[in-house]
Amino acid sequence: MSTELHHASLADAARMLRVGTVTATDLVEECLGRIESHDGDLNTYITVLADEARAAAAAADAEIAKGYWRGLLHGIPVALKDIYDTAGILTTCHSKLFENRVPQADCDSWERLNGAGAILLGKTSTHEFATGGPSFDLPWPPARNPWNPDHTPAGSSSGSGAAVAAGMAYMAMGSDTGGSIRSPAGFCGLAGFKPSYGRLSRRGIFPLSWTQDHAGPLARTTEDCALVMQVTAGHDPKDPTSVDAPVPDFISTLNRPIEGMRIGWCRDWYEGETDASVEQAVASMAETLQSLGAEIVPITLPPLADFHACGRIIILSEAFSIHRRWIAEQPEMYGEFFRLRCRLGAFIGADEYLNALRWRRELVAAMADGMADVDLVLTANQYGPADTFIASQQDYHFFGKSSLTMPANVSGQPALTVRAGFSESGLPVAGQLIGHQFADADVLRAGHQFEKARPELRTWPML
Amino acid sequence: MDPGNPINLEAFAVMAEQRGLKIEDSSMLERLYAGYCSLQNLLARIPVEPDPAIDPALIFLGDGAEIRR
Repeated sequence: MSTELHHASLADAARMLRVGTVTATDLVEECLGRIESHDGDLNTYITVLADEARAAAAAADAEIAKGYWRGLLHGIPVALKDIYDTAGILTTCHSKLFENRVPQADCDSWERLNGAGAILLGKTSTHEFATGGPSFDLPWPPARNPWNPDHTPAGSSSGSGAAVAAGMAYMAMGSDTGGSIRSPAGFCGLAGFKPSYGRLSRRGIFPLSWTQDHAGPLARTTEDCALVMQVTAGHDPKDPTSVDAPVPDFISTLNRPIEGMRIGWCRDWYEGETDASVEQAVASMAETLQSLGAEIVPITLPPLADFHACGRIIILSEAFSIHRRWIAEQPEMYGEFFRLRCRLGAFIGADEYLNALRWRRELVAAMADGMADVDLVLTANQYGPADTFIASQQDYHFFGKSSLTMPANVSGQPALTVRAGFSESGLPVAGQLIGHQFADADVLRAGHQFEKARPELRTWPML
Repeated sequence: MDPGNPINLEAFAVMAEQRGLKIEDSSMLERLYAGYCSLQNLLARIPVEPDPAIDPALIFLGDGAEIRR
């Protein structure tokens, strides 16, 4: 297990700050050093705020020395996917179209993280507008996977995943519309959490699909995700999709045993379709959870292809609506992959879009019925380890196998990616836990208990 | 024309223009057409006759509550 400071978990870094064994300046310098040494190869950041982060760290250290704690993340260096608005800071969506865009206001997530004392290291690269990538025809190159730079970190929160895995931030926020937090988390060996729809505000995050976008963290452990959830969750009256409901204590529930928890193992979605390492890793995850007292039962849920088709039709329709004017008038401002994928939305009729929305309601109900007797679903996160860049250069990645992450976007249920093993080539592979609506704490608890029981999985790429 | 596809490339080009899309060149048009053909497989999965009572603006949360999406 790595004990280097840049690969400490966010929670451990926060504990070290509390007892005074490190300072915020130490943490910021550690991350900036990693960025300086390795980001020229990995391309995880579009904007690095070195001076601002150093100043914020000095201010945090001065406050902490006086015993003043802003919140759970005081002094912790973090990053934001470059679709999160930050006042006065370049926010590009990784697109030439927004190459010089500087928002005037912060997004809700950064307001909350900043309020809790987090330090912003910079803005991370993404697939263009959270869907067009990995592309080589944009103003910035695509992020590379720190486990093997010939492989992609997946997307669209590609820079967020790669930066955290490479020790260049203690956490990075991503967005997840069809799996864009969980896919890079899986390929980079991280914990990635897509909360329940409505739990985190999306205000100030550039949309891809209004009805399926979710904000959430990518971090080194599930405990880290819980800490970030505790800070970022909450009602935002300026986001009409934000739920006005009490925020549970995500942290104190983490250490409750999972004995008696019923977990439905959904193998139908992936069995016979994945790399052998994925099947083995998810099976070993089931064994571990069972050894912790959970009851593992087989479960059959609606066909994966239905979720995939429904979710993709909705995403294409809504994304085209967002970009219609720009892509008609200034197509040269987008990369080829984005142009191709976004334009497909022009060929989906109003009746087809609305029927997909109505179908979604049926799928949500069917998912709830299927999970009536279990607390969680265990399934695979992806079909294999990280793809090479050559393999990922496809015009339409979504016309291959059905996405294993799409069901939780369609249903709005909370879903967590955790590292569950390694491929033959030494790349991480992941499992996925899906919970009932607004049972985010159950998902985090099971993920945390699994990680505690499998410390041998917690290794990091040598750069 | 592929018998499984609803229109050929020429008709597709007209449809793209009608939708205000200015496609850069023939290569991009062919690639977009390939995507359009694949899209039909996804669209074909939509149930033909969803229950008319289902309002697309609401989403069921499983505990009796509903949220507007």
